[in-house]
Amino acid sequence: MAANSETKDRQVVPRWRTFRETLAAGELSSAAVQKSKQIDATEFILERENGWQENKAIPFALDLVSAATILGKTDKSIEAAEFILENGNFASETGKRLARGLLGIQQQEATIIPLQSRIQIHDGLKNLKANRILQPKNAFVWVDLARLYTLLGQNEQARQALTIALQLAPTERFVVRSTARFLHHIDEYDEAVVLLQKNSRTPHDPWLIAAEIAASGAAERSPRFAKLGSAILQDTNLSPFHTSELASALGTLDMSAGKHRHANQQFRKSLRKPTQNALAQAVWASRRTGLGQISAELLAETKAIEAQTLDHANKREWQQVMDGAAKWGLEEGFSPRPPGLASCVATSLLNKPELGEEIAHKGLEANPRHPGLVNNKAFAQILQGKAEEALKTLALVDIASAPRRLRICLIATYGLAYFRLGNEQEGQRLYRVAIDNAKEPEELGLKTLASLYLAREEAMRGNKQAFIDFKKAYEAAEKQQETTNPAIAENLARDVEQAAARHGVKLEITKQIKPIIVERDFFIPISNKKQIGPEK
Amino acid sequence: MMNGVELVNGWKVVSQVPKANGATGGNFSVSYFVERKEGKRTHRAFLKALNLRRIFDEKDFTKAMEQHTRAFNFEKETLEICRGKKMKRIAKLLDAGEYRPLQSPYPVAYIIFELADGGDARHQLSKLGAFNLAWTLRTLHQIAVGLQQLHGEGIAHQDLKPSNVLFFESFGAKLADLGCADAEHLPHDSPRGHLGIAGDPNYAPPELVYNEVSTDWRTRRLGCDHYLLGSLVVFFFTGGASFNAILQNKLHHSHWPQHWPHDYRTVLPYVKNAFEEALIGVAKDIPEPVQKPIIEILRWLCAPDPKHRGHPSDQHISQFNLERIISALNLLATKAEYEIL
Repeated sequence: MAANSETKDRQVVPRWRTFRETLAAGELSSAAVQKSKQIDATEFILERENGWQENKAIPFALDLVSAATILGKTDKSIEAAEFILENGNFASETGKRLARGLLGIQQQEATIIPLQSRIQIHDGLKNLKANRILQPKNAFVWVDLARLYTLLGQNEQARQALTIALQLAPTERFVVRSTARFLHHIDEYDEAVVLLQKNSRTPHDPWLIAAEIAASGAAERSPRFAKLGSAILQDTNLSPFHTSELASALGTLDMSAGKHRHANQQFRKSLRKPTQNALAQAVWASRRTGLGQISAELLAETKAIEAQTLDHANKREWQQVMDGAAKWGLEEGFSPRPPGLASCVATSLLNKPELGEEIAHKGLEANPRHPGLVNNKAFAQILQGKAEEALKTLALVDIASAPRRLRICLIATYGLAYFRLGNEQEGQRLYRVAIDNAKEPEELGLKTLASLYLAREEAMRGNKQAFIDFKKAYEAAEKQQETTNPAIAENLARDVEQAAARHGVKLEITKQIKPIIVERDFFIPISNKKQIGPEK
Repeated sequence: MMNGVELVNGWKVVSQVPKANGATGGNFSVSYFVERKEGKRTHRAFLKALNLRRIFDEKDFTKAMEQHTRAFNFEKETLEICRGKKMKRIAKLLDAGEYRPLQSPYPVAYIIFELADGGDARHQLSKLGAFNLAWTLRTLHQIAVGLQQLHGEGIAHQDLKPSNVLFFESFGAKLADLGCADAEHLPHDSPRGHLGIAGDPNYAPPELVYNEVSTDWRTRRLGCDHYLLGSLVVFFFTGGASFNAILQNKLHHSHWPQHWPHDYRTVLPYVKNAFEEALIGVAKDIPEPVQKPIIEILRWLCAPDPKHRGHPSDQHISQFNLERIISALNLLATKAEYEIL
């Protein structure tokens, strides 16, 4: 059976985009609201204006335009800029760029095109390697290089590049957060915590405190700066955008402690001017804490792909989930979560196992041997009649070391493979092991899911008891409206109904579908009473 | 007004230099064209007079008097050192003295420099019209030599910019206006030594714009001069643009000095990134044969971190020694003159 997410609860771990994208998102400006401290340079502008008045020539015009670019434009500097553009044949490219900039003429910026294929990533890598030689002291080149290495699954090279970036800019927000994200990606949660806790800038930077709280959550440790973060959140001198992830991280912390009322207060604060990450966290957490549904306007306005994808999943809009996950995957190409979700939806809900396999396979490029993706790839292969191949895929992971929830999925998938290879006894045994392993209360959904699949396999082989078992499991799934199980049960029911007809078994299944929301591999029922937007 | 006045040393004031309203340092000094008969030749020169009457109009005139007379004397003494050391790439001090007008109680202190017949760098570029690689490289070489001459005597210029590079038809470029200079051996005598930015803020290096003032004289002053020299390289190759304007266009507005509340060290990674992007833009205006070496020279001169300025081979010995850069410019200029690039 498919697994649709990583093992940890969702934390507000920093997004890792390119430097340019992060800069454009406004995440690298100062958190403090700064009043302008302009140099009084009137005399320097006047001097150049007079020079320009007396000498209507390009060098004087450009001298004035340069000064106005720095100190602020004046009527005469606009005139000089126009002069430069009118006499473009005599002006340098730099001069024309400055003149256009002063006049506010939009210059065609190179569009940021996400690197999609391996060939594109390799091309990007080639360019960055060249830049690394030309700009060895530019920390951001090293971080962008590390990101591409990570996309290719070359984690050691990525680590080396990030080590250099940290040496060049040890306290810079983008460098530290990207490194923390990388450590999270390679499951070195404790190292991420150490990095953030030891950094001298962390106590002064809400973005780094947010990352420290999230990293501590992933590492199942107590955050060091949560109290300080709460105090910083009270500082009205800080822009709400810059404290969005901090509020979200504190909300997540409260939520984990069961303080849902406090958590909701923090999530509302995080939505005053949210980052995409904070918004996705709010959508993810909304049903857990009773926060309510996030307003569609806010989701559209912030273009938060992950949040929108989860929102589509809430509404069972599977095709939109697939489209959203594809875009989300382009943004966070190294994250196993988008391919995890998409491969699960494709295989389990859209009955497109070939697509599920392809997506999981692509996700494995950046996340080699990720147990969730390996499981989903194998599951999709089995459903295409490639059970032997699936066993080879499954052999890539050591089940014993996989996180508990994924271990259950992997054992069940092994069971399915044996069923399809004709070894029903072994298949049944493995499904039983999976069901028995899912004994914790929060694993009830997995238990039901494994029961559904086991019953389906046996029903298809004409086992009369299996139809009764399936109906029982189906009814159990119906009661688990907080999980994906009702949707999967409904899907599986078609196979079982056909099998029942083939074997002359009378089967009555009452279908009752309710709105759902995704949460790991769970869906939680929606209360449509209220919609949450930014706190007024 | 000194028009028509005959000074004791034989100079006659011909006319006042048309005054640019608000020109730097112009409030308390007045400039004139002067001439002196030397045999059959008439030698024209440039006179800069301290406007004492304006100083007396100041609210706190004693302070203003102290400030401006100190600045005037500092410039005069610095120019005397330059003359004494025969610095050929520094606009030469010809004379200095005082004039006591009969009808006014205020004496006029003045200094007389040689007159640049070619005007400043902006005038030269205007006259040239088309870009000339050999001339550009030779001019930059001459400017670097002038700067090294000053540095050799422990003097930092601090205000090197296009309007302070003067051109002489028979001799090429010379540096002028030592009003913002600072002397290593007399750090407290410098009239603008207490200021974060001694010269024109349009050209000042980024560390000073972000208020990072090194306690090390050489890093602060010579590091500044290196950056200003690099800015002139950009000026000549781009036909008049200032490097700071290009740099600012490449910086995200939230990282501009007026928006950044923290110290320079915290914004430095962004400035370094913008610097690299700025160089990519500037490179497009540099002819291909010299593009690589000129960009390399710009990296040495304008490195955003003043600790990394200067030729890499000099980093640990004499960081701000310009000799290697002068040699590199000379070699390029010679090759361009012989068209063997």
